[in-house]
Amino acid sequence: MADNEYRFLILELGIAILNHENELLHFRKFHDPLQSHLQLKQNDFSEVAESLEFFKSKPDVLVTNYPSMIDFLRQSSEAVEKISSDDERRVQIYKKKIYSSIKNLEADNVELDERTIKNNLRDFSLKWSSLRIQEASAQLDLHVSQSVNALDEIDKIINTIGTRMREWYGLHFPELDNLLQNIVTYASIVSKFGDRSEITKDFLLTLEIPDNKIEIIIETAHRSKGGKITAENLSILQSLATQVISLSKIRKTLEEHIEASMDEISPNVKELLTATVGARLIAKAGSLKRLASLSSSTIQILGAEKALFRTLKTGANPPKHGLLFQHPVIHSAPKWQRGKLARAISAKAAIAARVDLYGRNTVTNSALSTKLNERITEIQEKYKEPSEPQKKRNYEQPQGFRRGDRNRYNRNKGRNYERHRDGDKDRDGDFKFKKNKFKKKFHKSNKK
Amino acid sequence: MNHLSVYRKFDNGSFVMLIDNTKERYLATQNLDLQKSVYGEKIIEIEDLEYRIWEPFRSKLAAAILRNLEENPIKESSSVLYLGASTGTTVSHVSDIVGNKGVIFAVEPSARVAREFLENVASRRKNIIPILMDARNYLQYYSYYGLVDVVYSDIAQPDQTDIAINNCKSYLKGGGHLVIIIKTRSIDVLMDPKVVTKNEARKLEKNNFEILQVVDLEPFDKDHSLIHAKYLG
Repeated sequence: MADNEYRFLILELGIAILNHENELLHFRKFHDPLQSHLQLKQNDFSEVAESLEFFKSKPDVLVTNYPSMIDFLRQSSEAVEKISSDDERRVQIYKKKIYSSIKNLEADNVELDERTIKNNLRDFSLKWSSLRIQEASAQLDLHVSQSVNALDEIDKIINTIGTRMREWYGLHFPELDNLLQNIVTYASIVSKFGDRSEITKDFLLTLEIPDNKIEIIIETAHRSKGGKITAENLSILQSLATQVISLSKIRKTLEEHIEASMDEISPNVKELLTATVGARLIAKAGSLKRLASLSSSTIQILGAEKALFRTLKTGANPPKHGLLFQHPVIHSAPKWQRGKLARAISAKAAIAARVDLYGRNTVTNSALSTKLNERITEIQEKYKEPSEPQKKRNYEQPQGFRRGDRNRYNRNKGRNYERHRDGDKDRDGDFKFKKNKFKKKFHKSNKK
Repeated sequence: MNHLSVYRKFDNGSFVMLIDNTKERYLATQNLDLQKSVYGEKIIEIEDLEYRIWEPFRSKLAAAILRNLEENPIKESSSVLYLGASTGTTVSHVSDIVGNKGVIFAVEPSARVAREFLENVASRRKNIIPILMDARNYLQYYSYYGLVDVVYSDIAQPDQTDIAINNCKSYLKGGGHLVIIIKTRSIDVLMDPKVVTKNEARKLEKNNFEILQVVDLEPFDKDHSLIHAKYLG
């Protein structure tokens, strides 16, 4: 190690310069550590520059723990290096010592006793963490995954309330259920009219129902087998119907919103997978960053975790696709092509996610989708017919064995699979807890 | 839970076992953050002291103590590096135990859970220094200084033991203690939990640790075990 080697360190509370023997030579305290660190993060090195005046002659080697500062430091020294991981570890360990030796340096006139150091550090780390949380919560992909989850939930709600509404209104006008498939049209009729005899032609026309159907509806309304409905029941039923209508309005705006935000955060994934499927994958992975770090085989079966674990445990067939099944190409393909298609699509989706995350410009790159389309047509032509008759698997388990024992035995010969859950009764200890009794007690005590 | 009284004190009263009149036993720590319950646990006053019930079904350290952890390495005024703080359930009790003289460096990578942790625990207790980072980047911890007495690691990752070992090598005193919760299902879903634990213990031994005790956390946590080890430096 050269005598003229110095460590130029950015610590939480200030800038420190150590010599090659790890002695503290200079320390400049940050007045507001949070602000200073933010400045450093944006490559604003004005505060650092003042500390550089410490060097009257140029040091031979300057080592720093702040990699983005290296270019800046080159001004004052020929050789600037990133700190080695061993040294970094030493600095972490000696940080306490560094801080405690600060008061001996008269030049900077700072006095820090151990308690103040601890308090200052805590103060800084609380603020810094809050800032990190704020940054993380502002990321657009988190909002997309929330909106796609909201979309799924709204679908569920519309479905349940809608079915209830059909069932209930069916007591009054049972024939309407078979005549109208669309839940929103049904709901708007219920919320507008209520009593079946009041249904008018004009309104049905505005709902874009074909003419011949309108006539049937009005005709059946007059000779319906349904019973009468009281005003009270009807008003509750109508408020359910308005809920369905407003929910489907929200659903529509959500869909548009997802489409628009996918354009912004992940246009390539959107191009390959459609907006909703892409957004669902992001939601399932947790974030775009996480999705980009997944392998294509993981992306292929994302959303089929249950089937995957069944495979691992019992040796059943592995899943071909998870969420990707919702992709129109896979969805409409015959069964024997789906695995191949899912593999091709997920391979390109993995690349697309990485392009979107790390690519400089957020323009869609058509190369991916053209290649994918080529591959899709290739698969569709090559495997027009199922290659061999699909063997029917015997799903009945051999008697005397537990599920999957046979495969498990073959695959993992010699591994110990026995579990002695029930044989654990003789474990030592002076408290023998009966789980249920104990748990019940706790729940009781919490409710009080 | 009717009338509670102190049944036994551990480590000079850094935490206690309470008993009620049906002879049911509860762990509790003396509350540092008065009148505030962190995760819905009950607060009790006994002889002018305020205790928080320490639920073994929520906190794995409490579970281990009830399953006969021979020595709890976390004592009054010890400094702890806590990996995997999560929402701060166990951290709050550890903070009670170490008291105002101790310090906890609580590492948690996920912003979502750290939000609750900061709000309910870290910002209210003066002995906690939160570090919002992945424990894998152990060299980049900010706000960290010195060596600690204890490393407590509760992270459900396939490489959880390696992460703990790396952290120990950088921050644990020679002769300091490591408490690591092994979630066996995160390491291998298929392998027998006992085998997994044994493998991880062996890994620790190879890295200059002395295994003091292995505690199976059943019935409180399924397929979890706690390894208490001493770092030989």
